[in-house]
Amino acid sequence: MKTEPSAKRYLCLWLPEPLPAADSEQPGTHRQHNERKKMESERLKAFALWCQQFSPRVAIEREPGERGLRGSTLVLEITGLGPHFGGERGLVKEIAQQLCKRNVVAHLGIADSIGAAWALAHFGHPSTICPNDFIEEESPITLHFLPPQLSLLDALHALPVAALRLNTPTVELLVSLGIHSVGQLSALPRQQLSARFGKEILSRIDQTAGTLDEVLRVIPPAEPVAAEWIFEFPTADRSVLKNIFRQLIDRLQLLLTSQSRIPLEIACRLKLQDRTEERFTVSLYHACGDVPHLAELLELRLERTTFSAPVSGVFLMVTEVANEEHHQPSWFDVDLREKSENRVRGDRLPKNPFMAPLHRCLERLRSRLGPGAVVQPRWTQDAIPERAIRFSPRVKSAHAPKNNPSRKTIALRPLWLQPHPQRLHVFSRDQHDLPVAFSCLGDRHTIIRLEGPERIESSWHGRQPPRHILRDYYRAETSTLRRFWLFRRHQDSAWFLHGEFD
Amino acid sequence: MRENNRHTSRIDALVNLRAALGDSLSPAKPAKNNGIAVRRLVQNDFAENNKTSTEGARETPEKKALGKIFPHGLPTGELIEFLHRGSGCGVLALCLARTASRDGRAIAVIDPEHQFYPHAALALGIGPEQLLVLRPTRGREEMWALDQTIRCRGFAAVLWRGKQLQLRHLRRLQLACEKHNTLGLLLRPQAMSHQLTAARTRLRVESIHATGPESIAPSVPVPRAVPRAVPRAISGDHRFVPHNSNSNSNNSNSFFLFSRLRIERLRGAHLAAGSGIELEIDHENGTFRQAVSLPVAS
Repeated sequence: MKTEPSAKRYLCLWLPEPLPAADSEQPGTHRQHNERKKMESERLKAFALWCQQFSPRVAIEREPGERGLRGSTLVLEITGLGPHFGGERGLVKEIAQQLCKRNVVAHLGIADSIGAAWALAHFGHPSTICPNDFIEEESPITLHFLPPQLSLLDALHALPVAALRLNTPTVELLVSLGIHSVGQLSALPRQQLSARFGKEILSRIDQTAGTLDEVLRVIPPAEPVAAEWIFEFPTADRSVLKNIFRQLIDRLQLLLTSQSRIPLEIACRLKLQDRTEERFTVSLYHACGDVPHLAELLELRLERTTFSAPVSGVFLMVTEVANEEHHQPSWFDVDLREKSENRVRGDRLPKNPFMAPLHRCLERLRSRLGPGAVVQPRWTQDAIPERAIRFSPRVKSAHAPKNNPSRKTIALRPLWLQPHPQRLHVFSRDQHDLPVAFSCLGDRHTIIRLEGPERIESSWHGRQPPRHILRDYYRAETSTLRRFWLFRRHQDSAWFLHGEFD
Repeated sequence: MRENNRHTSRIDALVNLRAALGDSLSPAKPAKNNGIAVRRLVQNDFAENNKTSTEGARETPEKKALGKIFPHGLPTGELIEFLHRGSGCGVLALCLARTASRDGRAIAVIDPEHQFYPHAALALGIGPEQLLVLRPTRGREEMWALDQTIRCRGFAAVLWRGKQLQLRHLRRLQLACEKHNTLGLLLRPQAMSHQLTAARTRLRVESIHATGPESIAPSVPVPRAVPRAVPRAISGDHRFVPHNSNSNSNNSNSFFLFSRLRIERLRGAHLAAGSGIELEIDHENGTFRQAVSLPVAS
């Protein structure tokens, strides 16, 4: 269907490089090709949702690597949005700044049709570069701009034929026939083009010229699952707030149940009377639709919060959800039983029945003590004892951590290790210049047995200061039969207490 | 919510079934049900069915030693207070926690001072995924965390190290242990022995001079153990033992691989009052066994 040139405006965003990973993503260097592709696709979708702050109509025009081109492409319809940002220049300025903040490399094209904007973004001619002062010279963002109500094909005549989004065989055929630019192609008779190269070429020319409508597959904006309570009179009464939490979570639960989803993370925003806000988040290890439990987590978090003024409003929003799993019920599970008898597989083994109460307890502990107070050990490759084990918050997935040393290769280490080695005051030394009596943390000790040394040295390319550490560790037993782990620093021969074998 | 309740009831059923099976299999003291709490005992032969042959050989001395301390099996729903002097008590407590957690439950370590180093736990065979370290601040939050972890059925044992603990807290923790079938392990210095306690079991654990593996009676099988040249005399000349343990194989010569503890009951229904046993902890294999002194050679 041909139409008259419309007054619509489109912004095309070509992302030639893969999008940077989000903070929440687990790092992984050796991913499979399919897995990497899926992850890039998910990132692009998340990025498209993020772009909805500039326009409500955002579409993914091309997935990563599609049509033999580098990167991926988004299209934003910006018709009538200019005045909200102080004109199209203001909109582009805002987009450019936000993209720079996210370290995204992008080429932007603005025109009256999707095809023209796409051509500008991918094959922008120097004549169409928009002179602006807000994009720095070294910025990874370029902008090509065509003012409205312009003859698009005339404006794009210098661009190559690939700018018309033709498939690769057609482009190669045109080039072999000596047709390199859009201007050369548009000068040819239309009937002959259709007969020689198929109908696609005409529709692409018309889409670029803006005379043929193109369907924009807009990503539906994510509906926020949120509930709000505004107090008529601000209150600082925590029992009232707890009651409100329960009511709001009830409302959220109703909203989510209709979508067959279960909350995983809830963000809370408390508006205070002095126009400030208190924000906190509670997250779960496993999806849970238990309203009293969620309310309890919010209450525990509330106990740690001090208010500078009475609360005038409470706003809860579900920021992460899990889809509810549906299982087809069966009257007779004979087949399943037979299969499980014949083969024993890990996924058919019964789940640990203690995991659910454990997670609920950990969620409570984390809500009250903070995420840094509930940790699990993780082994690193570092030889320095205080860096050899990192304590990180327990991850949501129940997979066993990797890279743990085997039990057989483990060296004898103390049960309690000082976070920072304590310097010893050595009173007397023997003929080997080893301590005999020392004091540390207010106690005086006499060594009756000393064993060592075990030399521990950091790698020369260490990033954490101090970069080079060289220590000689000794195990010591004192006259009171306490066993310590001492070391002598190589640089200055100073002695330190690092741990106790208990 | 209804789904969740259904899930909880299923867990209850599983736990009850597990407890019932365990109690019916054990010939020892029956579980006492007083209407408030059910005390369950982990028998020393807890993992007879699924342990490997090497583990079986390794656990025999440990099983015997555990039987000496707890003749009716290790109680899982009980608060055990260790009053320690010297070193080695923490590892013993971790060994008990390991025994209690064979059913797949986790172990919590309350560590407000950020000093717990899980290397030793791994050497004892406790997996890092089973170990959770809680780091509350000292005081109210610490007691709250201790109380919450003991009240959670997901934890088999909770380890706490500190000094001051009020009697009312001890009483509450003891009741919580009984009710929720969790083993509470409190490590306190022996200087706290004058304070009253509500823990059902109170043990005095003293470190004594270890003389290496050769002190073990010949009747007790020693797993890997070939007595090696371990320095015995404590004199000025032998005070320092050059022992370069950069390679792990050299660890086996270390004197510090063994520690000896004397355990005496101060309160509790297990060991006879005033009597005590001596245990030897093998840090290399992560086991402990009863130490029997050899008669003095003529």
